[in-house]
Amino acid sequence: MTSTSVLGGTEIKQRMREPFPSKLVITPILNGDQQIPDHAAAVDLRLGPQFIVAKRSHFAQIDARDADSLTPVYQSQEHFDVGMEGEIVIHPQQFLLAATLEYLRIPMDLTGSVIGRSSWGRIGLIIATATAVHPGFTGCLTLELQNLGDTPIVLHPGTRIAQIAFYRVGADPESFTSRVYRAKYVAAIGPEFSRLGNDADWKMINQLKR
Amino acid sequence: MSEPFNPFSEAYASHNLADQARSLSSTVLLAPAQESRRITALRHWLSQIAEALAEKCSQSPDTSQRKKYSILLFHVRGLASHINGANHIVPPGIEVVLKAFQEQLYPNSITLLNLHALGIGGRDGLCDITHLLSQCDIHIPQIQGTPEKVFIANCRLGEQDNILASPLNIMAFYLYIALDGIDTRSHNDTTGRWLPLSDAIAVRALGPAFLFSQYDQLEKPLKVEGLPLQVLEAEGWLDHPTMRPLLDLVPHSESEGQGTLDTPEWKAICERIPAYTPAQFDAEVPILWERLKQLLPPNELEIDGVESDKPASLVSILNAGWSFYLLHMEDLYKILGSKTAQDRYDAKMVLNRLLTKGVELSQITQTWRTARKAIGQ
Repeated sequence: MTSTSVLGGTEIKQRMREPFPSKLVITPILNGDQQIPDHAAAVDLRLGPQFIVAKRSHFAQIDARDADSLTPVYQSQEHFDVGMEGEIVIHPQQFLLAATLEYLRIPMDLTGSVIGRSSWGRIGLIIATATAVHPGFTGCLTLELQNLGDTPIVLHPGTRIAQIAFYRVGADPESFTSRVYRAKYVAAIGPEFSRLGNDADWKMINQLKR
Repeated sequence: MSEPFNPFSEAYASHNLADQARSLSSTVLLAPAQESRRITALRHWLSQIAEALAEKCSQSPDTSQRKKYSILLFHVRGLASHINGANHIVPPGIEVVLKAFQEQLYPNSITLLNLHALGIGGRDGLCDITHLLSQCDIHIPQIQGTPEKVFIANCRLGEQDNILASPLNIMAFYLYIALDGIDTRSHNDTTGRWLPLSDAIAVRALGPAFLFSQYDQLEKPLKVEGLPLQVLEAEGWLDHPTMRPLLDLVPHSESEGQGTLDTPEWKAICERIPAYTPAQFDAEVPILWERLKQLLPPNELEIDGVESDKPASLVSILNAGWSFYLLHMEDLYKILGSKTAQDRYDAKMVLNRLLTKGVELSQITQTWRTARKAIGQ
């Protein structure tokens, strides 16, 4: 039985040097000393240049039970790519989706938990709730950003904005090789909108309402 | 007493042209919320040109001058409409590749990508305007940040994320533009071989991937002229154990282009445009294949390290993409459980996404490393 302890900086680097399939990939690491200090128990992740901004629209509500209702909400989002030389302003109470600059591949015996960096939290920028990243995930992580402060905050792509901690899970790393992915949902390269409408639960919830 | 209003007079024609220029001068400044600084600078420069043009037209009702002004206005309007048409708030995959390539050729330039129903192409959108400005005796100094060159790229709508195909074709035009000063066109005018020469330059710089990309655009295979294959042979690609069998599949005609590689023009081209060689392919591409097989973007060559020290080159990423598509797609189909034609299309789009991210991240890593050096880290 493997313990579920959190990985330290040295151990994270060790896992990044292992061969496939047990290899942990976080790419690119632009400054290893900054992003994965030996004494830390997490990897700092940088802000990517792509954003999805929610617009105020004429849509009355989001009802995730109705998969079609998410379609117009998707249409009420604006997608932006500001480039690495650009910036975006997040206004008080504004919510936007961003993505990590890094592309990750999590081996089957690890799971990740994404949280904001406290330095940003103290000026009001929240990276939503702790986001679980499951074993076998491959792609860029979508970050849910909200400005809870009273002052607009300028976000610059490339800044370290979030961190991911890794925990062991009792699975065989070799099972990565037998895993089958669904092409539409793998290798995300930017922020992704909610797929809540695809949840299998809705059939049951709808049945209860008859 | 003033002249009676006559809309058919020479004077009115000049005033009309002046008003069109004034209108364009203000229209070109209507920018969207998000735009790069270089494009903003270009908008202001074009606006000032249109304003100066309006003044010239108002002052001179001369018919011959007006014709030149009219042509300049046409080109300014054309470039302004390309700027507006190329406003993709999320750049498609092809734009990511073209911008990375353009950064290598001319760092202070921009790419304007327009999606059309027809045709793939590329040209420099500034050269006609610069030429006409001197003819019209208009001197507007470029605003700080105005791009050195404006690459106008056309791609078929729907193909904008198929980075295996269209970017390589447009990159061939970029290379041709980069060769200004070498009179390749006069050579071609006499021999009628402009296209094979352009293809030969592209295949030299971009490797076999350029040749393969031609077939992704066609409904039926066409024969490749002999010249591009001669270039590949000269670089040793026809002796390459992996690529030779793939190149043998390309339908080609044997007789074209004999002797071209011995001309002084070709030697001048070779000095300007470095070749992508089998040695580079062997050093980089197998590592990038391994990354693709693991559903990773082919952005770096270091597979066992932590920090990204060795970003992959753009040309290697594109050659890795094409050779992976031709040799290793079965691996991807297996990982993705692809069975139907739709599944195989989805798998191809996964490959395109990984390649796009590979190009984007390798470019960012190179820029980051340069910036770190600049601040002494």
